[in-house]
Amino acid sequence: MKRVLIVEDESFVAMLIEEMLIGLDMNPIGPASNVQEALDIISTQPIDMALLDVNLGNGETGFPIADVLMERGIPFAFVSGYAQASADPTYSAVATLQKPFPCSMLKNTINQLLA
Amino acid sequence: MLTVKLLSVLNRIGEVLTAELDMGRLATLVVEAGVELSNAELGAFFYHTLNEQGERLDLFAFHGTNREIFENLDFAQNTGKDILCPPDILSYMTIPVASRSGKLLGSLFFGHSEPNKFTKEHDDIIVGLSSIAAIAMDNAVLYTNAQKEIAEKVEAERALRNALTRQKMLLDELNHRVKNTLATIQSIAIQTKNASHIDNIDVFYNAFEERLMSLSRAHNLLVQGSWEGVQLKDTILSATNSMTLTDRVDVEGPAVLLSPNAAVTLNMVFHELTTNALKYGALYSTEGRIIVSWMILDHKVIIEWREEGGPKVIEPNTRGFGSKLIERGAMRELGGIAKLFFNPSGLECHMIIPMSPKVSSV
Repeated sequence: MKRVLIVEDESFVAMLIEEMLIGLDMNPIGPASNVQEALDIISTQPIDMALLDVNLGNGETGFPIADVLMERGIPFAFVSGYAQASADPTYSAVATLQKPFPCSMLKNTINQLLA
Repeated sequence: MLTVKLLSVLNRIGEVLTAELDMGRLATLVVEAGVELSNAELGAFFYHTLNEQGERLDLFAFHGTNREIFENLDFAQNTGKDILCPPDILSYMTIPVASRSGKLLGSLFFGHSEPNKFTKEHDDIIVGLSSIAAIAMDNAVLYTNAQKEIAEKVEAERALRNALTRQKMLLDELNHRVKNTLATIQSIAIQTKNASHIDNIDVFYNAFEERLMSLSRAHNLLVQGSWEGVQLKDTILSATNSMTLTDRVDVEGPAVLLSPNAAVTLNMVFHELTTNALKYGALYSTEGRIIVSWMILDHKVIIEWREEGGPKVIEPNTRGFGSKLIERGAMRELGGIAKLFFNPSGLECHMIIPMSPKVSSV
C-alpha cells in the first residue's frame, strides 16, 4: 500500500483526504497540520508521495515542505483554493488539486505522481 | 533714449523674474528692482486675498529702510484695493498687479520720506515693472498649482493602488475560505456516508443536515465576531442550545478566544457531543444533565464534558464520525489531546489544548 503524507491544517479537509485515500486503497500518513510536523514525518518515516495544503494558517505555507520533498525526489501535489497553487517557476511542474476536488481527480493525480 | 534704456532694463529684469517660480522670492525680486529703478527709499508688495470676510491686502515682501512704518501700521485697515499710506511717507506710487484673467494678485508700493520725489518716468517704470511682475506671478501661481495637482494625483494613485491591493487580498481570503468551506461540507458528506449506522438515504440526509446546520451556526458566530474570533463559551452554547434546553446544560469557564478555524472545529466537536447525548446520553432521559467546564492551567486549556443522569452508557464497538473528529481530527488541528470515557454513569470527554494563536486567553 502506498504511503501518502497529508499536510493540511483544517481537520475536516484533512479527514476528507484521509477518507478518500482509504477508499483508493492507499495508506494515509499524518495528517500533519504544520511545517514542523510534516518535516518530522518526512525525516523519520518512509513515504511514497505527499499532498500539500498551500495555506497552513498562522502565515505558514506548504512551500518549505515542497522544497525538502523535491530535494529527496519524493513526488507530491499541492492542494489549494486556487487552480494554480504558485506562480513560482520552481513549482511549475507540480500538479495542483483545487479544493474541493472529487475522489476521481485525486485518483488521477496520484496515478500521474506514481507514473 | 531714456525709453530705450528703460525697455532694456525692464527686459533684463523680465528675464530674471519670469525664471523665478517661487512666489515669495519673486515678490522680493520685484520690490528690489522697483526700489532701484525709482530711487525710492522703500518698496513693498501687498498680497491680495478675497474670501468670505471680503478683500484684504497683506504685506508680503519689503525692501528698503524704515520697515517699521509698515509694521506699525494696522493692516486690518487695508481692506479693499487701496493701500493705506504710512504718515511719514510724503511721496508714493502704488499700482495694482493683475493676472491675465483680470484677477487682482496684489499691489506694489514705493515710497520716499521727502515730497515730490517721483516723476512721470518713475511712474512709467513702475507700470512696466507691474506688467512683468503680473506675468511672472501668473507663472508662479500656475506652477505652484500644477505642482500641487501633480502631488494630489500621485497621492490619489497611491491610495487607489492600496485599495486595489487590499481588495485583492480580501478576495484571495474570501476564495480561500469559500473553497475550504466547500471541502468541509464535502468532508461532512463523506464521513456521514461512511458511518456504520447509516443504513438508508433518510438517515444519511438527517445526519448530514444537522451537521450542515451546525456548520452554519458556527459561521454565524464568526460573522458576529467580525471573523476575528469567538469565545469558547459562545461556541459551546451555540452547539448545545440549538438542540436542547439551556437549563439542562451548565457551561462555565474563563474567557478563551478561538480563531475562526478553531471555532468552527470546536463548534462541530460540541455538536457531535450534544447529538450523542440526545440519542444515547444524558439528554435522552428527562433528568439527565451535562456539565461543561474548563480552566487554564500551565498554558493549556483543560475542558471537561461530563454527563450525568442518563441511561447506562455502553461503549460502542466502532467509532463514528464524532469520536474520530474529537479524538483525532480536531486535536491534530489544535495540537491537543482528547479522550472519551464511556463511564456507565455518564459519558465524559476530556480535552487538553495548548494555548496558541488559535486558542488564546485574550
